[in-house]
Amino acid sequence: MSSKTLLKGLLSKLHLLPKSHESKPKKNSVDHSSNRSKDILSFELRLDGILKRHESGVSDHVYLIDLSNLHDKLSERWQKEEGAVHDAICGIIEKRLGENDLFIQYEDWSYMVVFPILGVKEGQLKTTLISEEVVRKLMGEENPRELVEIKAATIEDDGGISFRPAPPIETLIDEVSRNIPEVENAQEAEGGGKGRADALFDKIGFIFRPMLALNTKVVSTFMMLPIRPISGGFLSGHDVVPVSPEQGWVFKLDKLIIRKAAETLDTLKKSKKNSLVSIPVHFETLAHHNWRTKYIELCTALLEGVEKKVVFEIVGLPDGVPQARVLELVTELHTRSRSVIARFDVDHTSFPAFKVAGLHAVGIDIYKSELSEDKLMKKLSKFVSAAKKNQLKTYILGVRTLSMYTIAVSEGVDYMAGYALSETAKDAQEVYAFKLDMPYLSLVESAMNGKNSDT
Amino acid sequence: MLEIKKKICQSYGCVLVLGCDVEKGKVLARILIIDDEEVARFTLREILESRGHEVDDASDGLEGIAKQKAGEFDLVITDIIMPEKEGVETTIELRHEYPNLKIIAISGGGRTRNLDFLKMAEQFGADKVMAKPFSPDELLAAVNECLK
Repeated sequence: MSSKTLLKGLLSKLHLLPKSHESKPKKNSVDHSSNRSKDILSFELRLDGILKRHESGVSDHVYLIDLSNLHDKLSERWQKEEGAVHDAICGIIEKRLGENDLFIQYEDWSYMVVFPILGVKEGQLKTTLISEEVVRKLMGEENPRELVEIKAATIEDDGGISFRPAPPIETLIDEVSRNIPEVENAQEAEGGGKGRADALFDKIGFIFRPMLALNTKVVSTFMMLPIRPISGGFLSGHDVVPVSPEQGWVFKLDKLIIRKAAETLDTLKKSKKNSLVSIPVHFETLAHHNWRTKYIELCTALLEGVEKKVVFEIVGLPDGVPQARVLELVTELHTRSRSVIARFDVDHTSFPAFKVAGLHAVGIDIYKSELSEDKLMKKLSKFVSAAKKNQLKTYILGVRTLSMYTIAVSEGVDYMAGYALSETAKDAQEVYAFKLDMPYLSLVESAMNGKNSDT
Repeated sequence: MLEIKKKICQSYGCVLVLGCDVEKGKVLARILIIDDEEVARFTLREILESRGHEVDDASDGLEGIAKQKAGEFDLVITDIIMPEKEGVETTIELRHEYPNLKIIAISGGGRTRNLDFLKMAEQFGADKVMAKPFSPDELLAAVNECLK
């Protein structure tokens, strides 16, 4: 049976299984039925994408985190706060997944995870560690393994799909740890380890997205974007490094970005160009005390004299981050920049805390959005409306089509970037004026060229 | 039904046209309406059909261009702000493919800059542009002028 068939089989079971929370909404639970359909659709779409990218197949990479024992132990509390428990579990799992990984709630008390890139043993080990974290966070258990069971998907003789218990973690740890390179010293730990990290960082390049300020109709800011080629395309932004807090790769990337930004700003200064450069920095770097200290020291050293040409963009802000923390971070970045902006999910509509914290603008990046333009249009309207109520400016990145361009302009977005407006550049350019009809001119030109060749 | 139609037209900002002074069976022109809002398509259709025009509609520029290719219309009325394929781009493509087609661009969605996009639509080939809301009489006058 092909891996595609395996996973389609899994998905069909996903749709058919009755879900207790769909029949009766419980107190403190969100409306899971419509969210469930959206989750399944999103999962299917991403799974299709993974199947197309990973031709070697993904069988043996599907696992089940079975929390039935945990449910039995929590029992009444789980019943009472089912929605909150589910949300907490999803939050923990999501935090530990990489860009290529997937998960979805499978049955009432189990979650399916897919690790298409990891080896079989690594996938099982990661699933086990995630499940233990779930139990630890919910129960504070010292020995979480008794409350969770990890199962691996298998194909039965009759072609059906079932989940069987995975090998004990102790066996897996022994086998996997033999292949993990040792970290030699703290500096390497900070840098993410030699060898693998160096090879990865050597492949990271930068492009610059011109950003249009709609009030003045001027492109004056160039947004730095790290990119890394992979087969069939490229990764961009902080996705160029794997998500792994223990290895500090996000921090290492942020340091690389600052160094590149400093070079760029130096070049702009020497050539007397007035452009601003927007520098993305991940919340993970800022939230970790040691990393933040080192990052700020680096900013101070490298950006001296060009602070007014710098815009910091905070990315990866988690939901529910305390206002005091945001204020602290924004203040620290603001002393070394012209302004600080922050990127959110398009569904985010609560901004009072961020205005108080001193943000200049809030924005979204729709480049990788899987939502239809119709849905994006409605969400963008709410996002902009909420931001304007709090006197925050707005920006949108990744505008790829003329329809999203007109939608964003007509919604009153203040800043916009994306190749519907202009191509990305290898370096920051000089400031230039922008007319609203510019994105259409190439269309008109090709229509005219086509007309001339017809005649 | 009449009360429902009145409410819809009032929310759209125009006055319901009552009655029809066209000879039964006589079609004046074939008109295509392109608008992502169902209420807008319904209202415009009501106004135009009451005057004897044959009307079809599409919910975005992609569907609109496909319908124009399938069965050529005399006049296209296109909204500007639409998902998937918006009105200025649609106008450019229609104008290039169908030089004799009459195009009216309309707009009223979003918060700002609708007039900018209407001007662009005119610049790129729309015969007339109209900012919402407009009355049925204004629409019919624009249609009649285009179809002269």
